[in-house]
Amino acid sequence: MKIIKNWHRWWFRQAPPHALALLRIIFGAFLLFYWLLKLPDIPMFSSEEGLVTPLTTFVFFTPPPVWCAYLLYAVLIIALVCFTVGFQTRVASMIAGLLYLYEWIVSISTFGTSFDRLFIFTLLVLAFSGAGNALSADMRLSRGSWWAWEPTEVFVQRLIALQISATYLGVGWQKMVLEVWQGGEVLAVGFIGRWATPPAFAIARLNLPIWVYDLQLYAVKIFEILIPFGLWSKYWRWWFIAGGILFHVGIAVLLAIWWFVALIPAYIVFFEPEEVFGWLQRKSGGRIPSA
Amino acid sequence: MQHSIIALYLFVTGAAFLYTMTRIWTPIIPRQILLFSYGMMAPYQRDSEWNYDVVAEGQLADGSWEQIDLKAYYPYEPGEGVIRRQLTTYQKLLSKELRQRRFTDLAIMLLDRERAKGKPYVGVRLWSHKWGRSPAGYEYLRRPPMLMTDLLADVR
Repeated sequence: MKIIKNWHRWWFRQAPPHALALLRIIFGAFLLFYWLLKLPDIPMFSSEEGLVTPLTTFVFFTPPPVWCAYLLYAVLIIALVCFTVGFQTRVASMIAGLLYLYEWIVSISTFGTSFDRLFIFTLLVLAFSGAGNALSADMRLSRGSWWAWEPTEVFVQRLIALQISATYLGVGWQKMVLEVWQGGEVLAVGFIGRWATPPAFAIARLNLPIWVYDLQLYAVKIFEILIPFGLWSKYWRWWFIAGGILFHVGIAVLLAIWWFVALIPAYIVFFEPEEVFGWLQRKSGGRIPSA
Repeated sequence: MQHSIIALYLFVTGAAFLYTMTRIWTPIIPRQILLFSYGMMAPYQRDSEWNYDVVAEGQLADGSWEQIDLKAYYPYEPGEGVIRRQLTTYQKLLSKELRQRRFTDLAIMLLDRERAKGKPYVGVRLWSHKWGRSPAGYEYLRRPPMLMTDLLADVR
């Protein structure tokens, strides 16, 4: 049966791991930056000294003393460093994912963010991937070269791509139906709200007619509905990547919601693994061996 | 095994998408798992023409009140600090009464922390602040008559 064969090939074929490896390095570096910013805030963020209200009253998630909060934080940082350089990648990814989940339950859930959920999901599924099978310390130690690699199943790359698609699709559809998203007013008030940055306030002070905000809103809604499909299309992909960069950088600049820029490098999972491998092989000047 | 994982993932994500679109729960999926998946597709859902924040005051033995700097407890970006102080996430998860109790718990915690720092407070109260937004700045209209206050918790 051709359908079953295609299904199996799409999900489970053995392929070069370089797309996942690049994702691991960039995503790991991003998470390190994100978590290192929290370094001075840990006592207030997740220890008994802060006003921390965990998601559950289960005793395991009671905010610990400051020294213990810093100890857990240090393990998380070490796990993220190992994950980024690809040392014991699967173990590091799982430890980082579980500790991130712990921090979510203890503290981050009060903030209730989508991006933290996405990051936790990504770390946990990468623990079952061959993201450490290329450009990693694991390969350097076992095969003697940073350029050495071993194939892996496409499975996890597909899961991450599907989740990113689901995120955009869910967000886009909600904006289509939610009452508050039916007019440009939601953007106009957003530009003078608690997330607004000085550039956003400056735009608001231009006193632009509401149809300008309407136009922006419709552009955003159409973009969010289309991008889950556009990123899969070989012909349209680069246009949607450019749109994604504009969209997320725009949000970061105007609304100080910068964490979603992590999605931009993650678009690499929409490329076929062989395509990424070929590109990287050319860029490395042939140092990456063929299969 | 991998087929089972894919099927499970697609089922949970599909159920979360259904909830996103229709608010219909799929009962066999644990609530927290469904909410986690739903949460990955639900950023920035609403906004209004109002700003909100929570303000704390500590009462001294002579009965006078002084403001407690909550920013010391929420050393985050302004948007994150406000969301955390307001317990915004619990608006969906908890009933009004339970959320109210969370504010009381928060006030008790704050009283404990302040006393541990040597502040001789006999009580703490939390106020909700609501004020109109203005292009002139975030705090610009945070004054009467555009400022509305509401008592959230008062503990001794």
